[in-house]
Amino acid sequence: MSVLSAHFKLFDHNSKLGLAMFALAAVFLVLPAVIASHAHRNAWWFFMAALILMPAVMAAFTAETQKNLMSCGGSFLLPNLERTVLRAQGVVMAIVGTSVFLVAYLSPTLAPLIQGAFPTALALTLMTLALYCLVLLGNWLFAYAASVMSILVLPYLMLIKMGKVASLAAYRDFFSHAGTIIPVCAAIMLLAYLIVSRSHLTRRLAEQPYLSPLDLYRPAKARRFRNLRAARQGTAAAGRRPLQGWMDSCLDRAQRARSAGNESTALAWESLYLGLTEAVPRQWWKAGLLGLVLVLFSLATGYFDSRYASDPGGGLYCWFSAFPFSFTLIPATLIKYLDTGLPGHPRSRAANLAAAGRLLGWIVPVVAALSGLVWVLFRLAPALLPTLEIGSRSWYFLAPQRPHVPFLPLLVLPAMLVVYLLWRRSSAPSILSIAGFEIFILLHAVLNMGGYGWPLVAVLAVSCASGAAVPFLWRRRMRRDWA
Amino acid sequence: MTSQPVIKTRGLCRDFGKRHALLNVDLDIPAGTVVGVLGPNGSGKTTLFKHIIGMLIPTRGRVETFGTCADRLDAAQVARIGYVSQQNELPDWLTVGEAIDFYRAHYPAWDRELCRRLRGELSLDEGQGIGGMSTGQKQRLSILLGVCHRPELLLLDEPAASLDPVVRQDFLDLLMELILEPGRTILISSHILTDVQKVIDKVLIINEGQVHCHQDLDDLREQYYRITLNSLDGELPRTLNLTGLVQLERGGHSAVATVCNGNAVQVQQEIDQLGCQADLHRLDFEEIYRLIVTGK
Repeated sequence: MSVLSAHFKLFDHNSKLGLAMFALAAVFLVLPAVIASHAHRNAWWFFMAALILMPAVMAAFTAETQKNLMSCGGSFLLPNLERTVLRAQGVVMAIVGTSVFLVAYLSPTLAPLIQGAFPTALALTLMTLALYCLVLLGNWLFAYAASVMSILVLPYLMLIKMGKVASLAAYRDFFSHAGTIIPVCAAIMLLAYLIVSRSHLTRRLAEQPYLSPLDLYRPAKARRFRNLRAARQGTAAAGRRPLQGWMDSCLDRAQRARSAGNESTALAWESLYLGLTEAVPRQWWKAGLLGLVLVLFSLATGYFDSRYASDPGGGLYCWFSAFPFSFTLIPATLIKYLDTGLPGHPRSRAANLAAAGRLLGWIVPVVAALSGLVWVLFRLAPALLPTLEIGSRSWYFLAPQRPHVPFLPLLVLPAMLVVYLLWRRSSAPSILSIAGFEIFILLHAVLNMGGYGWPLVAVLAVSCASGAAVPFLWRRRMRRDWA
Repeated sequence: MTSQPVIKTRGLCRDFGKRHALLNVDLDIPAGTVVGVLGPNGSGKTTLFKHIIGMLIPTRGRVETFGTCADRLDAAQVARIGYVSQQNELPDWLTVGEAIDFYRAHYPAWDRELCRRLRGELSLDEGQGIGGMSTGQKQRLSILLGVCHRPELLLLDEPAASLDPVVRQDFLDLLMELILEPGRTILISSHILTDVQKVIDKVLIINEGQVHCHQDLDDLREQYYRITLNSLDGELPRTLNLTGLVQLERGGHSAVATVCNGNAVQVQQEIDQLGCQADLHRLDFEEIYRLIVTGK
């Protein structure tokens, strides 16, 4: 088992930090779900979403750790490393699958849905395992952003779909009718996972003469690249990538700003460059595929079975908010590199904060413009998209009812910045994404659940506060250790 | 019938952009030899090592390790190689003990006793996090992780660069112990020539990506002479007929010549024919190295 323990340790240098994050995520997901399930007549969907989301979080952590392990020079010659990587994933999958099945089968919270039905619990387990594989695939094939997107956006889409449309009858109906579809879909996902894992689980240092953004975290390797221009040449060695020209101009602006003595502007442009370098896939087809999947998934969630669309419990408005929600990834990705001191560029806290402020000044208009665009597109979509007749059922694309939802990410941005100010770690994007997710859900809960929502809001607020406080305290302790 | 070389390169070239890191490198390294890979900084030593283990793929040419194309080594072949890298890139998020456990699990031939002994000799604390270790401590751990599976082919890329003098001596003792085991091939790159010459059989000197010298250390030492010539009567002859003359500094009545000629008898005969008083001595290894690399 010792060979697997390295895969389970979180990628952060201090595993306690990662474990704290994971524990917080568990508390955040499970506790509100339990409370919500008792407070709201149909809130067991929240519990179920939490159940699906947890394995996705585990998959993301495992994938990140394993990517670090495989890109570490010292691991390059380890024989059968790929096999142990797969074995570790298999073990996680077995643990996750068993846990989800037992919880689904035995939990009184899900009793109205499952009612001790073995096939339903199995279908739910397969769904979570499929999501687990999806996150792993996203992480390997694309970038960190893809993994975060799969963790947060996809379950979120499931969550709103389940929460806002389905009644209990709808759920039972879904699971009974989807009894064959879900295992087939899950099997396809598992197959894709196995195929991709064979071809993509390669030791990344092999034939990698360029500097990856991840390498900027490794002072020993980054030191070899004397400055950012050398880093750019290093990354460009792998071929021109989407938005390469624009990214290069960011770097030029950074260097001009530094020459003019404007350090905070230089930091902001550098952070933008590094964030984009990491987030944008290296190939156009990957960027296109990623965008296509996101758009198709968003559109797919807009279609509702006509039989349940008239369910009085369903608000039928927030499905499209998942798309703008993904915009919270923008600040998460860009602010990340503010704290990554490049060799020869020690950074002061004051310069970092000024740069963060400058970045926020750029991010807000971009997110606002994107939100506006989404608002227009989704207003047009119901008129443009046809009704689908599948079997004996018809599926409608429903118009969103509350126009303000696309603009909720704008409210999330300042809160994310507060989290950043408290945390200020180079591993901030995951923290920011999780914080953004929590805050976003919080806003939804306030807006949608009325009186039933307040217990949920209280728990979420405590969760958010502790999410910010624990790392803050941990950081203070680290400062004392360093002193 | 000759045995297959452990490492074989033919026309190996590696370009990084416009720069030639390796240029037409042809090597045959038989099993059981200890080769010192020497050269100035940036000469291509690490790049050569990375090609041998398949970490880099040649721009042109071919590299075979254990008779297989180096970038297609299978798990069993990889398990026969040990590599201590210059950068000491290790999983920072693990402790020393965890890293040892992790590495050990990948090698069936892991020598627990050697590992236990080295952990003590190299003063490695099992509970210490790798991320918090100094460069020297990481280098010690890299050495431990690189040798404890008793590899048939061991590549040491400046393994002693960050070690303190005491640990460096311990490392040399360990190296001697490893060398004594039959069949083990070791390639060691280092700038500390006094250490290297104690352990190597062969010398491979690379400069600007090209092989400048690849031969037995003893043969190399026997090739280079410094001859101080003093005229017995008047000026020295205008032309000094010395085979393999590589350097000459002359005044009116005296000259200092450096020759590269493996035939000691011929050297002596040529000196005798000059009719001068001659003082002949062999160059030490550092002088030979400097001469090959810089020409001075």
